[in-house]
Amino acid sequence: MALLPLLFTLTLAIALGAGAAVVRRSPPSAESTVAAARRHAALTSALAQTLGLVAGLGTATNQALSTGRAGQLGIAVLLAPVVYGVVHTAVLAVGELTWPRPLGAVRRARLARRGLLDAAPRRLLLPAAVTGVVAALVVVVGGALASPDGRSFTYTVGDGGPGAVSQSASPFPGWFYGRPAAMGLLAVIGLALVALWLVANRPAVVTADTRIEEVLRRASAHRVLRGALTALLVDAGGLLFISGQAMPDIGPSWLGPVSVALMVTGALTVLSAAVVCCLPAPRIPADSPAVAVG
Amino acid sequence: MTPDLTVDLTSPTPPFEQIRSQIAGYVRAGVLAGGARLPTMRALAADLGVAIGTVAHAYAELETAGLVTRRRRTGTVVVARPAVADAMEAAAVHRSASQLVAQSRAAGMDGDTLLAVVRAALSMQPPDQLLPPPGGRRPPGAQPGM
Repeated sequence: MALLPLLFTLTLAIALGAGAAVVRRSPPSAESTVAAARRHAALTSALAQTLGLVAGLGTATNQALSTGRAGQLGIAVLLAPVVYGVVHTAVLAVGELTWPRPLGAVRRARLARRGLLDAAPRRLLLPAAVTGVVAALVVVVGGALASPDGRSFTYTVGDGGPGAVSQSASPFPGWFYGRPAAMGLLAVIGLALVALWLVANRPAVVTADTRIEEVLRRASAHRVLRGALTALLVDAGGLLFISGQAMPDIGPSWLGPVSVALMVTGALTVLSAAVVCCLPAPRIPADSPAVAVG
Repeated sequence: MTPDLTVDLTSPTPPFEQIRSQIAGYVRAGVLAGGARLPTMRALAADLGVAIGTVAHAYAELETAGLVTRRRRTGTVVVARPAVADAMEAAAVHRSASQLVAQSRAAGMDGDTLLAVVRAALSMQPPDQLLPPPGGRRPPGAQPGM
């Protein structure tokens, strides 16, 4: 049952991705260097998505089918997006390392400095930063509020003496779930930064149209951030959702709306991952008329 | 406008010298202003398809010539070119250079050797020592007629 939201998000992502791929296509490039770079980028992207999905689903299925300690299924749900993010980003990083090198006796380069985040699209960078902070907050606050077992939340009415009433609910994002999620997300963020550094330092595509080179680099950074943000959103949303689910019925009246707000925010965050996962990379501009056929 | 750099691998001039001379030209011509940040050695080497050591060599030569400086956080940055004080001072420098050339020819020294001597002299004096002191007309220790 815990895997159902993940499968629903995945199905939505595939449907949206297929639709975006059909609707939004860049015009073909006549320059051989640009065409080779685009082929390399498309192959790397497809490989990253495929291997990431296979690894993520494999992790979830493997953990779900194995009979282990309590809460293992919850960890599987949290680790699946992390594994997807790690594999996806690692494949993209390898793609940047193997980016086509400049050929020919005469080489040209622009004397422009490229910073780590210069090519990163702001529409993904900002949400990634916000989601990372939210995930960190949920993990820390959840860890502080959770019961000693790290996976449940106990609310007590009264001073703990005779007559006191307490209610426990599980799962709750205490350190039992928070620690593996935090470690996994840190790995995704670290790998994404390495991949962005590789994007900034990979060879420029030799083209008469400098816009094409800039868009190709922005597209590479877009793919890196898209995968990392997807993993962050699914995990942060999942943690928010289960924290809302575990709110007790016996507490003060304001806990009810808080519970609903956490669950709705969590569910919307997970669903937004499906949309982010399919955000198309920037379009390659059409060849300018002056470009010679290479 | 960002200038381009071209390297011809079939040229008898080594790639590092091609990189050095073009950047030096851009700096002297004012195309690269003081404070402009150069690409990282790794990025420029990747764009040109040459070894990082080649770019590092060119950058080191530019630094020795006082055209660029390396900073820990910002990387390699173009040094602001001091404006020559006035036309008379510039003319004096040109006259000194002519005298130096005549002196070296009289001593049987060829052009390359003379340039090497000048480079060595430049490398022994950091760029800030070449600037005239406030209110002064000549750097301390400068020889008259040189």
